[in-house]
Amino acid sequence: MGSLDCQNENSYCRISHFRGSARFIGRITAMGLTIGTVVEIVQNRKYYPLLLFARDTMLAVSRKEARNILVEEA
Amino acid sequence: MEIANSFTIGLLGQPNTGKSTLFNRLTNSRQHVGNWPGKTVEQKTGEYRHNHYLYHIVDLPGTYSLSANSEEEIVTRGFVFSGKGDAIIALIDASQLERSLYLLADFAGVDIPVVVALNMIDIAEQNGKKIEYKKIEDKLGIPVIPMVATKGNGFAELLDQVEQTIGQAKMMKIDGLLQKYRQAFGEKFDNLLNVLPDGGIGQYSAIWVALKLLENDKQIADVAKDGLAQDAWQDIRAIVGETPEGALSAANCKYGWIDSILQGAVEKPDRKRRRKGFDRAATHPVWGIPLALLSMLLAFAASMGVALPWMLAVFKLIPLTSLSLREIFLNAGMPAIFTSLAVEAVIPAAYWALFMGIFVSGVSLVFGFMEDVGYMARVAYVFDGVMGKIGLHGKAVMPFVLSFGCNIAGITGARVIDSWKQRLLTIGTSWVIPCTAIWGVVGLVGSLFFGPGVVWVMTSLFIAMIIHIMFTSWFFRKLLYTKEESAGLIMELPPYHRPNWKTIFSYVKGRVTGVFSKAFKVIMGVSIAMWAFSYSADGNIEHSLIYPVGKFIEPAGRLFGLDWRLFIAFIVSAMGKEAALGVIAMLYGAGGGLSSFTGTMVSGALQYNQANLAAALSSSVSKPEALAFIYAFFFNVPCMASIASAGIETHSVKWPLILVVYYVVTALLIGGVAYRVGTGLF
Repeated sequence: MGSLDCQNENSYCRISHFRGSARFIGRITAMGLTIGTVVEIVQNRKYYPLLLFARDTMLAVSRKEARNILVEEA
Repeated sequence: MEIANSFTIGLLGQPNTGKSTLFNRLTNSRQHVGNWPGKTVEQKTGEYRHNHYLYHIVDLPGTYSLSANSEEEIVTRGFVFSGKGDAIIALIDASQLERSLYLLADFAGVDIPVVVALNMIDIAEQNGKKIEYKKIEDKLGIPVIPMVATKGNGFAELLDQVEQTIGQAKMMKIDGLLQKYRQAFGEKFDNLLNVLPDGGIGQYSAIWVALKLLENDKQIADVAKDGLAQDAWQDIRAIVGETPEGALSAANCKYGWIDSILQGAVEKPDRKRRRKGFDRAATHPVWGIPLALLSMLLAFAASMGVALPWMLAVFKLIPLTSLSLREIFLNAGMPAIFTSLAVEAVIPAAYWALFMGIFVSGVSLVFGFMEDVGYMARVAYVFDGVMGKIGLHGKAVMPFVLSFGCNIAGITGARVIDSWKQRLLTIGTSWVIPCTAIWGVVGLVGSLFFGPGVVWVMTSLFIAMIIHIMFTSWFFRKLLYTKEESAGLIMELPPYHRPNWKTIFSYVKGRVTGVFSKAFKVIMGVSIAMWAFSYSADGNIEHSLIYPVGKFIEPAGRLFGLDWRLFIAFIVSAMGKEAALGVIAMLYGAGGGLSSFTGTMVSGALQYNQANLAAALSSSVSKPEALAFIYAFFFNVPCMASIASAGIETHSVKWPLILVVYYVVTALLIGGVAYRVGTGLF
């Protein structure tokens, strides 16, 4: 389905894979995003970090990092 | 009260869980702030008494996990395993239970009694959550205390439970978590445990080491490599090598365990997350930035509103006290040199320290408010793109904008940034921003030498400022960060809270405590040193100590286009940009009535005529030299109060010194470039 930064606003998706260093994976999983987590895309506008909602938490994830989060249909 | 015994408690929690609120409420004014040994991370400790026991409480840095991805995490995990703690209070945000419990899951295998403080239950209830605390308590096997830290609700029970937990050595039940690991990793987990010594390695338990090895934690792998025999380490390498994605599997185990803990204990409405009203505007791609800029303007106005009446009073008092005392001292027969020291250095410096303390109070109050209600994270979000381009956190925009008013505001405001390295980076870079005091001098000297062309001088200064910011940010990033540490934004936007004034005032009190004394020491030291170098009985600078020094270093100054007088004016401008004009007037023989440079801090004490000053400068300074001075002055160290602020914020002498050296050197180099360009142009 593609990476997180390509998802539409107000849609839901499920995380399927992460690309990146162990450090990135450590940071992102501690913030509540793991494989299988269902994520709501609250806002996705060009030049701005993505706003996500997952595990009761609103998160801002930069577009660079969002490109390393692969998702599938929820 | 008689003290029977004392214990040390670590306060563990993710950012935004109310940890600082709990710490401030428990310890009140009994706090000590410094840095962790060998680290740039702030260490806050305090004390409270309960039931005849004295508790030393350590406010651990807010971290999302116990990995070793940041200095904060390394410090937190270092304390947890140091053996210094008798118990841990783990702060969990009840409104974000699932994610917040992750840190507790990472705590599994740590052999220290722990009590869970389930904070913000009021917000969880407002969100429609029903939490059965006792069920969570039964599953975890440790006390779970519902509380609202901002209101002080649940404190008594928490303190009682901490006391009981230490007495009973209650450890968290982790059987369920280990089962998840066994399901995910098969035999590998038990194979690792079999290789590891039963007593663990050093201060780390065998279970914790095994869990972290499966996560591919490099620091723990090094611990195992150093602490085990060669064959045991080879076995471990072989097992861990079979789990390249161990960190991901381990995270799923932890969240799976958290789900099992919360199952049947939490009910929440199944409704979609909606941003409403202000939050929608605050994160809006179009309106978010104007709203943030407006908020910053209001913040600066509010800071000034709080501090200005007091600051104006201080400014009025400086000349009033100094000039009156000068008359009194001289009439009483006090030697001129001591009178000069008292009224031109000591008294103005004391007032400047007072001024700084008042200003820091105003800025801290406003920043504390914005952070407490949860708005700062939204500002960081909308400015991440802009600030990210120069390697800074989105939150750095606020200190940057306020620095245009006063650099002290920028340095103090950097506190809103959670990461210490980012905070240092922001403080270091914010010194490039010109404060309001600079423009008077640049305008006057610039228009004197360049007439209407001063507009181009100012435009070129702005362009140079942007390049300087980018270079300085890059330079300090290289100094502070490894390549691996550089990463994009992953930030929580905490729910909005109603402002809790007790918490905010406690924050302000914490900030201002110590500022006066530390600022006093730095400002007084710089002021007296400057006075000693520039004092002469007849007010002629050629009879002061600084004259031979200036003449001696003149060849070096010439390299940057500055004669000895401009070079000294440049050095003295690091004391305070406001003082520069007075110092130039004294150096060029156009001002009188003072016996030292520091006397220029007393407004009205220096008698000088602007026309005479203009004539003196025009006849002695060329256009390229004037350009060199403007540039060097513009990018010089902001003022001695900024040096003191940087020292207070970094809890170090090293960082302000590094900044002073960096800014003096770069300002001179930039001045030198401006001189060469000016020589070609004029």
